[in-house]
Formats: sequence, structure tokens, C-alpha cells
Amino acid sequence: MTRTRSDRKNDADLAPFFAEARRRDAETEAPSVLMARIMADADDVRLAAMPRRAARRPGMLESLRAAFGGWRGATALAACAVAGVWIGLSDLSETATALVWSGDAGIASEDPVAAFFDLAAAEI
Amino acid sequence: MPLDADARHRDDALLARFASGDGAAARELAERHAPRVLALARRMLRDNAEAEDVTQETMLRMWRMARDWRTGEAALGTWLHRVASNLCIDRLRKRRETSGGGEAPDTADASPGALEGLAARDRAAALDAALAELPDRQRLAVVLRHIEERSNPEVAEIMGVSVEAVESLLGRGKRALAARLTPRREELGYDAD
Repeated sequence: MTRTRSDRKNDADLAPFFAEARRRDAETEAPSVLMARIMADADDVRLAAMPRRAARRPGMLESLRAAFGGWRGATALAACAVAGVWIGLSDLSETATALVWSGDAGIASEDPVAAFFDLAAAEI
Repeated sequence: MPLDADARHRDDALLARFASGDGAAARELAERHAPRVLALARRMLRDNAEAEDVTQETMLRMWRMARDWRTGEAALGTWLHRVASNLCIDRLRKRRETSGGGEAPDTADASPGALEGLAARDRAAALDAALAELPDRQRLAVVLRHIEERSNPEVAEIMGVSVEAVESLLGRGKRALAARLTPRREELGYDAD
């Protein structure tokens, strides 16, 4: 674009105004409140981009543990299961006798059903 | 290494550090660029609260694009000014739609009435008032070229127009500014010819 004499005069006339504006802009500082807003946004974006533990899919063991109420629940369940297997594999009559034993050898018998009624009668 | 190239390398490195989770890099980026974005937005919008909103939004877009930033392709300052310029133009457009007014005519002979009430020796206010009477794109071109001291090709890149269009906008803008400000040079403390 060809610059005319008038354009050059305009440039000269405006130059001190622009210089004043540049000087003023050089002193511009962002207010601390604005900087805090900008940094809060930066933190949000930065943290959102980081790998999150909560977002990781739990493993099978963790899922089971959670389903049974944590390690204590799972331990109790496992103990019950072991006891069930032990009862199943043991001789039934011995087990039944052991289960109804109340400290009184006369009440316990080899018949678990009869022993139950004997025990009930003794309690009355 | 030229200062501009130094600054670009520094910006690229800071963006990469931010993208990998470095919070200190964010602080340095904000301190390097937020004041200049704010100055541009204030001059375009003449409203501190809106200018601060535009600055925050511009910086937020920078945080979000940091991971996708391609080192060496563009200058971060140019990218930020483009985002801020578009946000300012959008706000000015919405402001006019809300107020029902039309954009100032894209000519050089608008009335200098807005200068009447200004304090006699407030040069900065005189320039701001004269700039405010320019059409948005003329104002943006003049601010970017003569206050931000961007080159014509940079202004063209920021505004998304050709260099010839920038030269045309600058020519009309400066003629309009001179028409308003030259008669007041003596009053504002500059030597009159």
C-alpha cells in the first residue's frame, strides 16, 4: 500500500499517543484476584488430567472383599466355610453329640434328636 | 538467539511442563501473558470486569490446549491474542445487540463528540476515547500494530485476514484517530505543528 504524505504526518502526530499507551501497558499488572482465578483454573485442568485412583477399575479380589464387607467379613465367611466342610467330613453322630453337649453327660446321648428334647425338658 | 525466539522456546517449554503436571510452570505462564492479554481486553472493551473475564477465559483455553500444543508451529503470544481478540469482538457484538445500537460506521469521518468531556491533559484517556469511536476491527488492528507492536503479518494472523486487509484497516483507523487527536495535540501537551 502506498503511503501518502498525509499518512506520514498522521503517523508522526499519533506516535506520542501510542508511545504513551505502550508505556502505560508496560506497567499493567493483573490484579491478584484475577491471578488467583487464573491459577485456580490451571489447577483444575492440571489435576483433571492426572491419573485418578478412584477412576481405576478394582480387581476381582478387591470386588469380592468389598462385596463381603471388607477383610473382617470375608475372614468370618471363610471360617464358616471351613467349619462347614469340617462338619461335613466328620462322623455325623460324633458331631451331633458334640453339638448338644451341655456339660451334663447324662443329657447328651447318641441320638441327637432325642437329646434335644431331653435338653429342652431339663431346662423347664 | 533473538529475544522473540528465546521467548517462544521458553513458552513452549513452560507449556510442556504444565501439560506434564508442573504447577510452577502455570504460574510463570500466567505472569508472562495475563497482563498483556488484560491490557488488550481493557483497551478493546473499556470495562475492567469484562476485560478480566476475557483474560481468565483466554488463559483457561490455554490450559486446556496445553497437551495438544505443537512446539515450534505458532507463537503462544500470537495464539493468545487471537483468542482474546475473538472473545472481545464477540462481547462487543453482544453488547451492541443487547443495547440495540449498530456498529460505528467503518469510515474516517465520525464526530469527535466523545472527546469533549475529557480532562484536557489526559492523553491516555484521549487516545482510548478516540479508539473507542473506531469500528471494532479497525480498533483491534491499530491496537495490535501500534500499541502491542505486532508486525502486519502477525496482526493478519491474529485477526484471520490478509496483510492487505490489515493495511487497509490500519490506514482508515489512523486517519480517523488523527482527525480526532491532531487538533488536540497542543491542548494535551504535545507540540502543535
